[in-house]
Amino acid sequence: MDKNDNLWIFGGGAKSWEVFYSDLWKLDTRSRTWSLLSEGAQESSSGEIGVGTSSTHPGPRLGAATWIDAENNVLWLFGGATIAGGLNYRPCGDVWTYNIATKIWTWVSGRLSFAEIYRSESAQLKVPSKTSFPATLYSSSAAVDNNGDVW
Amino acid sequence: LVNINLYYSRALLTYIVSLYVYRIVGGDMADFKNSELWRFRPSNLEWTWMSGDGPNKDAIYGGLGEFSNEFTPASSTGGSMVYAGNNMLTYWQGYSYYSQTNEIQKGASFSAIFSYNITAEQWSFTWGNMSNSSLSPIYAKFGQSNSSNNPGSRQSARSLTRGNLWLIR
Repeated sequence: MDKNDNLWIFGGGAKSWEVFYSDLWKLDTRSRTWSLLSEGAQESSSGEIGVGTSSTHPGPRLGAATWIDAENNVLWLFGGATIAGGLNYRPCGDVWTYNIATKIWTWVSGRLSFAEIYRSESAQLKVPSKTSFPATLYSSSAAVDNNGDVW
Repeated sequence: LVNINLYYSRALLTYIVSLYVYRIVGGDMADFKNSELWRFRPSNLEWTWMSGDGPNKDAIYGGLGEFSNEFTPASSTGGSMVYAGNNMLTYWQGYSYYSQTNEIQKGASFSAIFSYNITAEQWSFTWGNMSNSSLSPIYAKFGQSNSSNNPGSRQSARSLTRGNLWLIR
């Protein structure tokens, strides 16, 4: 929910998890009307890390962790489960932003590979890093503290 | 033909079991329950591994409300976390590793809450039941705060907070 009382919804699954979505919707809770902000796609289109374009977007997934920045400008998304063909589902470890003004998705951090189910070998306890990442996660939960840090 | 039948039998079993979590054909779901707490700083895109150590870890409870470097939630998936203010995180433990269960995936859902003190970097078991993994909800008083009320064991619930913790399923 943003400061303008809009409820944002990304992805999710339906039909006993036979269908995963990657579309982004906004519900204006005052007028109770829905807007489709980003159409869905069958696969992620990451592009180069940190570079968002009109064609970059995360893939279908459910159970992603999401939050909105304090300035109310950017939606953030991490992890979740995505379809990897047939009945195979894979955990995600990527971080995406969605700029509400420009309507552009950008892959900004984390791993796109589905195989890395453990934390980066380079990770050290309580040592910040831009290149060591947590395990990919099927169903994660995020909380934002007063400093804007995400847990 | 036997191999094909075994394959489909295993696939069917995996499908049924994973209705409770998510389907991973050919995988070990125990590996996807994780005990690690990470901090992500959006301002500089830095990750910090703060506590825990991967999959297949039981919770270490300690005394109710007691904080320690030793205590930790179990490796879990489908938990729910909120920032409770005052540098405290509140975590509803979801589908968790539980070495005492007979379930093949060593997983169980609990009705248990942990708190994490961001300043002290310590966990505490702050509410719930650490031994009953199949607790049904206890509807003691509708719409009223009551010490007997209990949402019961559950996973993949959603929570939000503005003062009080709200749990949704």
